[in-house]
Amino acid sequence: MKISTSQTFDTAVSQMNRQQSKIAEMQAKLASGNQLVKPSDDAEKSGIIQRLTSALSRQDSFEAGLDRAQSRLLAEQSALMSSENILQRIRELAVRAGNDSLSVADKTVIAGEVSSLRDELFALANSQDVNGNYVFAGSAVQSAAFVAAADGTINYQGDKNLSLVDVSDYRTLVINRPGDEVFKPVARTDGAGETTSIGFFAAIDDFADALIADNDVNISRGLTEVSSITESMGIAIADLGNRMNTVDSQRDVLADTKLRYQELLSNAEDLDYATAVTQLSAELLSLEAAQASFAKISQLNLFNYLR
Amino acid sequence: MVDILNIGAGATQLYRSALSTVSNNIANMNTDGYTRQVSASAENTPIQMGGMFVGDGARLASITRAFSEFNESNLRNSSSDLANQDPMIKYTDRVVDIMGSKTAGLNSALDTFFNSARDLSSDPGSTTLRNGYLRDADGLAVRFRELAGQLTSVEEETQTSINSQLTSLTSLGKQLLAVNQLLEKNHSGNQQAPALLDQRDNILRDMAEITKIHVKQNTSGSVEVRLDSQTGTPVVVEALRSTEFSATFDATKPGQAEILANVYGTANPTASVIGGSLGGLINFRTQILAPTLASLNGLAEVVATEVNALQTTAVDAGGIRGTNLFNADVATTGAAGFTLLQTDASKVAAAGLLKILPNAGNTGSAKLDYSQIASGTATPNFTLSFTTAAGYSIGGAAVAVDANGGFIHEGINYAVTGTPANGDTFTVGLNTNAAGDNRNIRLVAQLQTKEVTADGRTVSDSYVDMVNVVGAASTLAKISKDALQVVYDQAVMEKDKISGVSLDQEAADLIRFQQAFQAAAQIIQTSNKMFDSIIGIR
Repeated sequence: MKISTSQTFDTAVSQMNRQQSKIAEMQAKLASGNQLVKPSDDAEKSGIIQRLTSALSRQDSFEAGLDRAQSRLLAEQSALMSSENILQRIRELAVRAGNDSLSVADKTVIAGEVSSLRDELFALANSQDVNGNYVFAGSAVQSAAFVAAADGTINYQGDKNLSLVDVSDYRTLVINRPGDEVFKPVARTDGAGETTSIGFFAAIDDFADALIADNDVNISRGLTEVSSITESMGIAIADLGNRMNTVDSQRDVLADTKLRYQELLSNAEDLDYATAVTQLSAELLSLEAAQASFAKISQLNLFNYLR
Repeated sequence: MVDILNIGAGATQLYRSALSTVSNNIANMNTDGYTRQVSASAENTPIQMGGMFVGDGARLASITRAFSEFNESNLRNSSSDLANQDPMIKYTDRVVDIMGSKTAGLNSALDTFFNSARDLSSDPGSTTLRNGYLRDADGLAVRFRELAGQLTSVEEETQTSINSQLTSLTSLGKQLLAVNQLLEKNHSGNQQAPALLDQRDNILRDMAEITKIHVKQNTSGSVEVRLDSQTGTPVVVEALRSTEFSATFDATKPGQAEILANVYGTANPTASVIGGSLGGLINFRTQILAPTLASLNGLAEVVATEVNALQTTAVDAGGIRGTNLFNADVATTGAAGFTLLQTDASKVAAAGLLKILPNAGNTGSAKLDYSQIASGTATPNFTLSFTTAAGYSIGGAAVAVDANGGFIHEGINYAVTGTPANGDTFTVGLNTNAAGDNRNIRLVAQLQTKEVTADGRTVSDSYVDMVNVVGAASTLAKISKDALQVVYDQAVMEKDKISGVSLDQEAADLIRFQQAFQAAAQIIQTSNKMFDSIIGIR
């Protein structure tokens, strides 16, 4: 079969070009460290990379949410711990006041301490987190949870909404506890057998009043009620503990999930240098072979022998 | 009487021509489209001497092209097929690179937007986070517009490309017409100038790269070219006429193109342009560009609709029912008209729409809640009362309660759970003073993994799939190109086997004809000596 001379040259040139472009491609991969230099190198793989990247960034955002939830919970925690200590103190005072041997003057002193402890509790009930949100106000976080009316009674101003924050694709975390469940009213049954709901602060105030009035029946009722609100506080603390645990365990879960996605992403995206370098050597070898053979073949020409 | 001198002279002339043909071949070795020429000799009519015939030497019979019509048309067809793949590969890769980019694609903007929504959901009262949410909503809008713009510029570029290809086709037609007219002056195809025929074939090959053509050769060597094998389909070039091609594009239908063939003074649309780079461009526009743009517009519409639906059924930081976040006209304008309408961070509706408060004196166990809010601007503000005698009523008017104990009021579905007691009331109003309420913004964040597109997938998955479809088309075109390249190379080789110039062959011919020339010169010498011998007799 006849091969035309220009075809010999054209073919050799196009083969060397093809080889050169393969080498350039390998070089770009090696330089960037990526399997794909541009998405069109492998659209399907770049789709996988996009999915993984977006899943990974979602985990990052869950983590950021977790951080903010935690700062909120920490504010709640510090308020609850202090409140519990104060309630313990009030309870001790209530137990001591129940002792018949105390004089009226002693009881008045105790009443003074109870009142100042109640003021501390009031301040704690209006705790704010680092971002200025009232922790115990439900979703009305921009105004104080408890407000004192002109006559001194303290009313809950927040709502009963629980704020849910997504901390993973499948898990949500409650980041607040409405104030009237933490500083919870007590049920009081009067002489006629009718039950009414008495506010948290009103119950403490009534106890202080009973001390000043030296009303033994009401003092003992005060002890019962203080025990009851302490118990509610205990439940709030346990609930908080659960939520704090969720934060910690979720942090671990997120770290694991992130690691897994990172591994998958690395598999899809990062270049395997050993294989790539071997491949590059192979390509270089065949380019050299093409060049050497072309140099030889192009010499073969009958005209070289005509002298 | 046989004249040896004449035979010798004729032979030297013959071989001089043969040598010049070989030289011409060598000289044109690298000329594009040159067909190797072959000289043929023929025996002169012998001279009868009595009962015998004495040969009278040889003469140059013809110089023809070493040419195979079959190989040539094979080459044309395979070059049409090969050229068909190039625009597909070039532009689909462009689209994949634009849309599939990790940073410049839609996905990163979607991620940022939804992450911002999620951030805001963990502290909805924060103005910083609200501003961040608006900023990233704008980023998403900008990204949609950018992608639409990029696709539009691809659309414009392919339009320009189609126009320039059609201009080339028209001008090639005119050139061919000129060649045809020259060829028509001589009725025998065998006696045409080889260079003219080479020129004709070059033009045909260039045409075939633009679109698939069907060639019919006349006896004179002039050709008729059609876009299709059937008669009646548009003629590109006839013996005495060539066609003007042009295209029109419909701005409202991106990707559409109408090719017009002006044969008899009126431009008629033709669908016969297939194959070649022109066919490839048209394929890319109809099969890839138009559907991709439509999908992108569809996604833009879904995102705008879904986010707006949530934004308008919730209350903003001021306790006012929210208004659209994104331009609701996206359904008609497409992704190019995707704009952010809100600039005030307090207008981000993060909180649930309603606040429902049971009266403090309620003694029953009933709870009232709401779900499904129809779009609209209703701002509920009413008291729901229950009496054992009359059931539920609002402002004295009885409320129709369904089987599940729920009811619909002002386009909002309410559900009642538990048992109300006589005289229980609930106040229902907009959810004012609820800066910490994240119910709605959380739903926005959850859109990221919600299957909201028409085919039941998430926006992000739908987008990735759309890019994959384009990528698959590109891969297919690359595979086809590799296969067709082999076919084309084969066709080139087949043609070259006959028509190409090989230096080895020419060198051998050169020696052969040189030796023959020398021998013929010897004939003249011999004839001279013979004459001298005769003269010298004394």
